[in-house]
Amino acid sequence: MLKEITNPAPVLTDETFSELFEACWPQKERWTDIPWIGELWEGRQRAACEEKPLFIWAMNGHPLGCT
Amino acid sequence: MIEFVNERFIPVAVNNSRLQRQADDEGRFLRLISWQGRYGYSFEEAQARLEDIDHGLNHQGLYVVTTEGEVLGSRNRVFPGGKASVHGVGSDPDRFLWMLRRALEKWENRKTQRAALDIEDLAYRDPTFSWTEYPEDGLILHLGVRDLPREVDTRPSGMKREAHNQDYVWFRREEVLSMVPPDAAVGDVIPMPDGLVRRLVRYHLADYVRGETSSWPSEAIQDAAMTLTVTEKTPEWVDLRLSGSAQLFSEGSWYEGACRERGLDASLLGYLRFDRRVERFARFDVVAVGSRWGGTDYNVRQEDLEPAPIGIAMTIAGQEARDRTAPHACQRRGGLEWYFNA
Repeated sequence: MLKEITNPAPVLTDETFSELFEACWPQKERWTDIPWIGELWEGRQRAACEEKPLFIWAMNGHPLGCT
Repeated sequence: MIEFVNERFIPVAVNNSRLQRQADDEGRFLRLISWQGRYGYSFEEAQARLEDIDHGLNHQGLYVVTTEGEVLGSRNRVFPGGKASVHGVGSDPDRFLWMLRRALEKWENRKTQRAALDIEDLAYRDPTFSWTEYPEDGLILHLGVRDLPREVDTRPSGMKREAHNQDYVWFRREEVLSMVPPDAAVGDVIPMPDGLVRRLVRYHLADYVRGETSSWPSEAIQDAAMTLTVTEKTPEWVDLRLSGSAQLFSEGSWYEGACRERGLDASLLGYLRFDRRVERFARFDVVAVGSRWGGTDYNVRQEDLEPAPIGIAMTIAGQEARDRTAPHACQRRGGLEWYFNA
């Protein structure tokens, strides 16, 4: 059943909450400075309007969420 | 590079897992691209394979294309034997930039590109997937997950040490209101509704640190409980302290049988503020900390199966377009119903 913990997790308390929240939260990354369109068809329509090529980032899972 | 992409391209980020199986024009468009860009078929050969949604092959990659699916550049090409040429996005920025520049050269001599305003809205979308429904009047949380420092750390440097991931958590308006009874008084301890607890633990207390993983099956929940204690109440707001714990355990066979179980033993703590005037949360900061062990086929834990600390943080999501991305657990066939009825 539940396994014995040998490499312990930090203790979560009112005192450690803020520190652990910051530790868990990812730092801002530069890819977020790109105004990604999250739907392929919408991107295709935009590319037609603006006469630009599509740059498509296709991942297992949504790249703007969890991949 | 960021400015270059923003100025010269229409950047699109999509969930390939869904699109490669979609039986509609959007899915066909993705397959048209990937059969060329990832698998090396000609435009005509790719067109002949558009209806195949049971191919069982992965179509993820980076592609530069015209509106008609003519591939001008790509990464993650698969060569004979099935091995992709590049693992991971941006693993070689110079080669990536070279690909983009070369694609722009090809763009000047492109064979296809629709004229402006010539592409209609999709009239049909594969109904086996879910196509709504950002809960405008509900609660959207942005979630971050990563490994926490270890007393004994044998992880190699690089991705396996620095990896982190994210997701979004959705609650509908009626679910938000169910968390805060109107007559709640200071000192009251309110159980978090069972369905919301199950959603949080099955779909969001999972080891996504290095890559997507399966949600927990219902029977994996060994124990899970969350309570909200009213700590302050005024005519304008209600402050609550969330506390809880979750123990999850599942058996299976991953990494060709090298891993037979996975588990998570976590505690949760959070601070919430409910604005009574607009009936919305103004603060919803929650941390889950605990130990995870094992792995699944896609979360890259095959050499890191022993118990180790993991941390998950959630807070109210922003208002940018990407903050409307659906939770990972929704993005499967019948996903929304599955998600909201955990």
